[in-house]
Amino acid sequence: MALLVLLIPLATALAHPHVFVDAKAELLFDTQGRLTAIRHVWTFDPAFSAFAVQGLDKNHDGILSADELAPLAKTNVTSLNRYSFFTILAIDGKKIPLKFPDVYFLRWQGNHLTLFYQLPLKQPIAVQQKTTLEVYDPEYFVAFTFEKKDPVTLLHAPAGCHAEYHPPKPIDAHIMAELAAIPIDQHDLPAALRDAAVGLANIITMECTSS
Amino acid sequence: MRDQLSKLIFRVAPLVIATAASVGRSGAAWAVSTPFGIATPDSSGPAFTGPLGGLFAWVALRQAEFYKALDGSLLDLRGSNHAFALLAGVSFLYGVFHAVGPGHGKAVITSYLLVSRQTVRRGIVIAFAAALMQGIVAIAVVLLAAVLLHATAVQMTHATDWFEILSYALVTAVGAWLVWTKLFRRGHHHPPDAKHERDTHHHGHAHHHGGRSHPHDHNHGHGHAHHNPGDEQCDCGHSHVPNPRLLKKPLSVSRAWAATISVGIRPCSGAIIILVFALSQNLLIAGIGSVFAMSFGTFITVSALATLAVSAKDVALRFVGLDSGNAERVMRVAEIGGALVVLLLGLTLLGGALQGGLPV
Repeated sequence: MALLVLLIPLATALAHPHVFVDAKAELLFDTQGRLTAIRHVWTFDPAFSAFAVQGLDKNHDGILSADELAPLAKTNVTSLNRYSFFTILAIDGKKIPLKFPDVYFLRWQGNHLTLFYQLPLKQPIAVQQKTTLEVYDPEYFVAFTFEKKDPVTLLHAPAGCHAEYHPPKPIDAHIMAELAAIPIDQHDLPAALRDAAVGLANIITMECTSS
Repeated sequence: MRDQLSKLIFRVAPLVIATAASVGRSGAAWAVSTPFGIATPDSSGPAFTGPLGGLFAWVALRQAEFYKALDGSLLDLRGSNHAFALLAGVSFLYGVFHAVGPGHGKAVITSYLLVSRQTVRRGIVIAFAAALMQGIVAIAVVLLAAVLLHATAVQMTHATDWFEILSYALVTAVGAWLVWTKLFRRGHHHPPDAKHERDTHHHGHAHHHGGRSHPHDHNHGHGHAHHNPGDEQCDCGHSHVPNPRLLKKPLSVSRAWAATISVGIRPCSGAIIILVFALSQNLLIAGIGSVFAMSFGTFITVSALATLAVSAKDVALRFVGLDSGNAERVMRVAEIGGALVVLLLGLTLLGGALQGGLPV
């Protein structure tokens, strides 16, 4: 029984999504061909969109203007800062530091709210081999998927650069069985299995081959 | 009595440290903070690891599917007559799967039931009341804040954050209450379903000690009697036969209420989001129906878990033998552990929620 009582709180340490984001990423390069910023375009699901704009149409004209949405956009990016914007940029597995967004705004289209913001790199970098951009919420309060059409765009990138989007891996019965086979006292899952278990990471790989 | 107590604490200590470590590790992630500054996550932590990681990941994915299906089936109401049945079904399943996943509610209710030796029936009643209350609080918040006051999402999130803090404070109080009863009234406990032999045994025990160190025990008993008149356990120092009327236990009922409210007072973000969405589509009534169906789903899961936990304990006890002194000792240690888990859970959640300061 002690075991049972102890297991319950551990089993509860799990989130579940209440926000669904359809994302697009744009990678901005400078004139010297270095990566300078990541632009995120995040479209929220209709339910969360409706919740987010509740009470914001101050003049009750049925239109959510940029002015009316501006305070919420600020709240969004300020809050996202604590979550490192769910964005991990890495070269050869080494994290590249990012700055607070210099541009951010919200738009209402149809029945969706879309957040646009730009994350500048602390130092512009030349993209070499094995540059990866990961977007996901490990706690799964936000479920990220990338849009099928143009999930990632390179802006002003030098010739020879290309990016590829890899969607999250679905969790299948096989992986569940593998997970179940792991001894209870082993907390550090093998890296491959952990990634599969999380299965939530959207990964964009980038490469520039110098010509 | 002192000796036994210190022996007990000695045995429980490693358990507490292990629990504190495991709860504390994910404590920071429990803070009332939220990625977009609106709609607080129900609970969070290092997701999908541990032995049941795969299963919980699967549950979370199903839950996400039902949640995503909710807004669609709400909108379908406009076009079809069958849509309401579909909406109710989807909401119910969302409630079922939602409750399997996160939330301190199950931990509090189950631990409470086990620690204070409640029956399966009472567990089901508590699960029902808590789930219903959770739905009603969500509906009340949306009706008051969104419909009447035209509040923004940020303001509504602050309001629910206050409910959350209140909930965690109540969990802490229930935990402290359980620990207090378990640690300091251990010789005097009368479970409602106790066999008479066991009571006799206890009283003999207490009496024996009383004879050995009379002044101490005497004061002890008196102290409690004065502090908590009407408490089920207070009379034990003086009465050698359990009075059936005392087993009705008014305090235990209020403790059950405290446990129920601590769980039910915190509205689920999902319910609030769906209600506001329904409101924006002029489908508020359907949204309210959906939330009640969710509550019913939550009740089914939580009561199933509570039944499982209480029955598992009963079966385990039958194996060891109800009357064996060992079983009784193991039970006590486990119960003190369980009570401490509730207390630690409450403190961790409360600490996490207050980390970023009070919501204003």
